[in-house]
Amino acid sequence: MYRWLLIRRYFLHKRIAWAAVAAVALLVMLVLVVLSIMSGLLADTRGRNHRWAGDIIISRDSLVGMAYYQEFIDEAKQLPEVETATPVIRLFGLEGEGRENTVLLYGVQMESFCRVTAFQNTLYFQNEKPQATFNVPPSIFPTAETLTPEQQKRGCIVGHYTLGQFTGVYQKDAVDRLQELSLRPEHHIPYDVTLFAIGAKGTLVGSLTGEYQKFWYVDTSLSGLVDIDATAMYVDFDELQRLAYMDGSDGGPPRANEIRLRLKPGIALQQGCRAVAGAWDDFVRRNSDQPQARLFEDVTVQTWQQFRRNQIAPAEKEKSLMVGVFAMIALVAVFIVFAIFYMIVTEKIRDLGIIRSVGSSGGSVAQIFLGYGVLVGFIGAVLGGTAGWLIVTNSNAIEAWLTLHFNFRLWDPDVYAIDRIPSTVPPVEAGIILIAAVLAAVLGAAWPARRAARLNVVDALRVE
Amino acid sequence: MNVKDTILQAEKLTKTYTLGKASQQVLRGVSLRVARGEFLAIMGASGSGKSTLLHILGLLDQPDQGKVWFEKEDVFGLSSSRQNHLRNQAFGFVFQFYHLLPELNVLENVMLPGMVGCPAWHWMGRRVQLKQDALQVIENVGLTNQLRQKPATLSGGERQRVALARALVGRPKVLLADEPTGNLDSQAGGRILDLLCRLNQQGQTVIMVTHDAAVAQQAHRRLVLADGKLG
Repeated sequence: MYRWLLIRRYFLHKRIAWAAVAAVALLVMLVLVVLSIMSGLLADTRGRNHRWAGDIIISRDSLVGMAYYQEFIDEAKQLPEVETATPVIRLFGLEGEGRENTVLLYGVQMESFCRVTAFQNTLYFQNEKPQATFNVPPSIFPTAETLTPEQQKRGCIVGHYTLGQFTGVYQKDAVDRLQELSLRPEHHIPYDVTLFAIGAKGTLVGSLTGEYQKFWYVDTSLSGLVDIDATAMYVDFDELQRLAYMDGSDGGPPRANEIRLRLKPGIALQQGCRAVAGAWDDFVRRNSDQPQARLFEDVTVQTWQQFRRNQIAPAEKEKSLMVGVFAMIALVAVFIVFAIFYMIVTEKIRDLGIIRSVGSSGGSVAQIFLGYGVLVGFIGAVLGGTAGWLIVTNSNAIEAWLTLHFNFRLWDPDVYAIDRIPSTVPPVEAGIILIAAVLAAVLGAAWPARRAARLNVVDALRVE
Repeated sequence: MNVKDTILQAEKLTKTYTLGKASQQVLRGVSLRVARGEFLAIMGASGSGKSTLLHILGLLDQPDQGKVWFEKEDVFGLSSSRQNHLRNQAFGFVFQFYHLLPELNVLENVMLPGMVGCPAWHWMGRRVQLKQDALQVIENVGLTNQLRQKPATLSGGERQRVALARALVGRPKVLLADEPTGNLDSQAGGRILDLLCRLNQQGQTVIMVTHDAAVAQQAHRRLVLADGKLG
């Protein structure tokens, strides 16, 4: 009981102890804020990649693509792990009458693509419609009595930041205003697309000047993935397949570049990936004697995490780096606590001798300082945790205030591709930080406590 | 004097202090026997080793050689936890410079040995008794009106009375006083001596170290430590 009494009195009477508390509190606040925001950014990055890519992706890097995709999709849909699947064509194209802009053309079957991915949620105009389409407004062809199916599906959806290529405007705010003012389907904005078709044998097919098609703007996609939103133009799968001679018109089987699959709810990603990979290997084996079977070579079956590794890994590395940096800062806090406690022990040597002289053991004396460390760590962790939580949960309001009063933006959305700063404190990581702070304070107090425990009573009593 | 059996016995105690290459032997085979209820004064010049002897007798320090028996028990053969227990229960110390904890008030300082000796899980059950014991000894030394005072606000004599109360609160079998009046004026010192004498008359064994012959006169027996030996 005397230990708690002395811990309390030392804490209340030693202002230097509050410096240790402040060191721990600042550390906890700093780590909590950075880790919360980095975790939020990472979770956001992962979520956006997952929503855009689907669960499992079968793909071939070659622009030639792979054959028999539809046959495999039909088989894959029978797998117990697979909910649905959709083919995707991915080609490079040139946009503009002068072919001045490079775009990454995605040919997608809108209905199934929206079921495999969360593509519809990324759309500006159609995100709340029952079903997104590439359908153009009938007023596009005012002289036609009825639109052909091809004409009807000749709309294109452009990535949010591709607008910068087309307009020379790159700032997100400016693009948003452009979107509000002029980028509307009813304005009949044309996109002239040219591509060079490559046949199943890997040679150019069609016109040597490229295959040309005019598409009309029907929507904008903002997936939040800068590499996609800055280059992607989505068009109808059949239209792009026809334009690129991948529909079998080059004499070979129809081709696509990717198959994206969605797993059934409750199926673990790795489990689903193994099942799909096994089915794919079996499919390849059974079809190895088919024409263009060589296009099965180099096909990979990946989870969305592997497929988008290049985009996710930097965020993960950034977070790891930050954790490492702050772990080093935590060491500084340990040394601050150590220095302060060492000072306190030095100052209190005679008191410790007095306590020992009335029968206290060295271990009990050590416990006073370890308990002192726990108290400093606990109060510092609570104060720092509260301050950190307040900052994180109000981060967007704080940034808005700074922008309004000082024209200072902490997080440039053009750089981080985020509209809002993540403002959720991850509870498990927060708990780990708080416990680590208390342990750091105890660690800082451990050596001084050991010194106190080993004091010679008589020597301690003789200290002036 | 009500002297009964031997309560404390030391035999052939030696102690040498080393500072760098220089060493000084302050105790050279000191032996003594203290009877229960005795008031013994150990005298000597400054640096003669009398405080060292007192510290060894009270288990605050260890001799280089020799033995100490408390109630026929070889105290330096005991475990450190048993020695701590003896220091808490059997001995009470009064120091020249009081040695009170500045963060604690009078009552808390006096209760300190009780708190140290009371396991945390017994605290609630014994708290009231410990407080009553502390209040009783504080009353005996005449400080009832200053229970909540911090040591810094007390005079030297009052501080020494607090130290005496702290030494007595556990009803120790031996009271060890190291120059208890050395830092006090004659009036305050006289009051402390009176208290020690009164305690001894009530049966308390007292071993007092002093260099003041007048103070030592109050004891039943006086020993002089010179050249590391008692005479």
